[in-house]
Amino acid sequence: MNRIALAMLFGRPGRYAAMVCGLSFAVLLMTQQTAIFLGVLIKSTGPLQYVGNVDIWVSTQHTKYINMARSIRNQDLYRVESLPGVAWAEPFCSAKSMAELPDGKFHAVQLVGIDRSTLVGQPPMMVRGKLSNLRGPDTVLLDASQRGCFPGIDVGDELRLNGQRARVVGICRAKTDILSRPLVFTTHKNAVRFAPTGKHAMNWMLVKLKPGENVLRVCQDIQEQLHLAAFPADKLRWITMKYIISETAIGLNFLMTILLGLLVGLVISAATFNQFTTDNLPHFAVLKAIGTRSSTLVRMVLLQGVTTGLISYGIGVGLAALVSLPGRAPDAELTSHFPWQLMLGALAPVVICVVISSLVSIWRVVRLDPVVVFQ
Amino acid sequence: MNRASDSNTMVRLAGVTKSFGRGSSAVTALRGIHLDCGAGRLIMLAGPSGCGKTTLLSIISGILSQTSGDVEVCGVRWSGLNHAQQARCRAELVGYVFQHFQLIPTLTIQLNVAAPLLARGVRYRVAMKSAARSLSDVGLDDRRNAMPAELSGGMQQRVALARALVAQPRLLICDEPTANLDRTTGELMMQMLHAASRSNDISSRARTVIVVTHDFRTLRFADLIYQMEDGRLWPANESLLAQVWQAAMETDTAS
Repeated sequence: MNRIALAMLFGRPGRYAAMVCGLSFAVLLMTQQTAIFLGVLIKSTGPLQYVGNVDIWVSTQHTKYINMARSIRNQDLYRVESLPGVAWAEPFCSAKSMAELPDGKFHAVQLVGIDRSTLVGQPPMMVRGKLSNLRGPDTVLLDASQRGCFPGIDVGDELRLNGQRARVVGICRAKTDILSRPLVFTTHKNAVRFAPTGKHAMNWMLVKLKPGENVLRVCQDIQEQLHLAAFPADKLRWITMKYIISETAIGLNFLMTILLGLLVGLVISAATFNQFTTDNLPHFAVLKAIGTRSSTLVRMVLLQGVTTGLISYGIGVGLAALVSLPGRAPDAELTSHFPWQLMLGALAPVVICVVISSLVSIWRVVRLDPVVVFQ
Repeated sequence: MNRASDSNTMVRLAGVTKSFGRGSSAVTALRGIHLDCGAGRLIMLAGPSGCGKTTLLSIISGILSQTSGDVEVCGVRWSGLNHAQQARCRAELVGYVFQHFQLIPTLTIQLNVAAPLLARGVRYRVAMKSAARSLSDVGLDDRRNAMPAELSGGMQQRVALARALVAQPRLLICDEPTANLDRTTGELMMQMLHAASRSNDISSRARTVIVVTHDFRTLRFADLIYQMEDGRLWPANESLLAQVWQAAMETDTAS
């Protein structure tokens, strides 16, 4: 009877296409919006996206997430370094500043100050110039993805940061934060001059542990002995995303869109599947009259629903992946994250739509009186 | 399964009544119907529209349950069975030919014919083989991959007959099988139904064919004619038989 069920399903291409299109669109909407939301969350982690080889991020007490940290005193850096288990601790600054171009135009930038000698916190990729050039006086690296903010500025050119002269010695590639401000890398010493906060520019310490040391134990030591906030990198990433979800309306807005997608999918699939069943009721009645059991008819309806759902799921997720492709480019303005868990998770709303749509149809088929075949 | 003792009787109805609705709005469609049909007979039920013919067919075939009385088909008492058992018995015992053919338009002819076997759980390949054989019996072997819409009305009714016979039922129920056919095709259909009542392909017992019709010209194929009016059934009277004879003569003259 499975072949009969499928032949009934595919035998009406128009109706079938309407069902698949509706459900695919809903899957696309839900999956794509979720992918963008995940992308936004990841982008909100700012420097955590590109700073590697660090075990612990340290800042002042009550720090809530990566972009909400106060300045740390220089002596705290030495105190952290002196703790047992710590291999090294380096200053890291992430601060807003203002870049002024030679033609007088200006642009808000995100200044990233890293240690001059070790260059810990460096951009992950250089496009032009050498990273070591950053050790020179008044030098900066510009982020390639935001070059449009600095028209005509190239390696060797100058601009002004916080009123101070800065020389561009390289173009790098790193990931901007959620505000997409252009990243400007410099040394921590320069950052003190380039950032409006001045000598209070350091707001994070990057800590590396000696091999075999327990990250959580050292974090606890930092918190208890130095009264500073210390986070393993993964935890800081998570609390940053959690903060964005709970303290901003971004999550709620995306949730509304995703629920809207679910609702659209549910309504379209239920309406079209119900219409499909209505069209086929006389045929189900014939099958019932010639001796097909209700349980077999239920299986047929479920097979039709599951087949429609799976094909729609495939098309919807495929389209969502295609739409997300531009967001995967290194300098993409669009942001989306499309992990396999999202692909798997997109099955859940499809199952909900299929089950609810099928239940309505099953109810009608089970209650169908085969006597209509004689009428 | 609840089987009656008399194995020679194919269909037995005893005091069957059927009412629709309740109270003052109740409509009585059948009033104390008695019927005994033996094997190997073609029985025709004639009567005006609304006299209860279709209701009677539905009750005989186990699709509708009677308000009172007993119905047995091939020794099986429908009222003693649950829905699943009734479905199984319908699949095993009864074949149907409907007035409007009732073929599923999105299935090929062969799959339409195979449907009763698939409903019984017969394997796909076996069912399709049997369907091809059945289509061959009604002269449509070469159209097995066609869709119903590609066939004429006569051909579709032959497909419906092939579907009704594919599972080799003991009882064939036909609701106005010639109503949508022209005279020649209708004659051909009746000849096939007559042959079906004589075929002896499943056991030592032959098949019973019950045909409801408005078409007096087809009554001459009947072994027994019953007349229905106002929910009552009785053997055809002389005036009806005279009309039958007259129709048969006209048919012969025309041909």
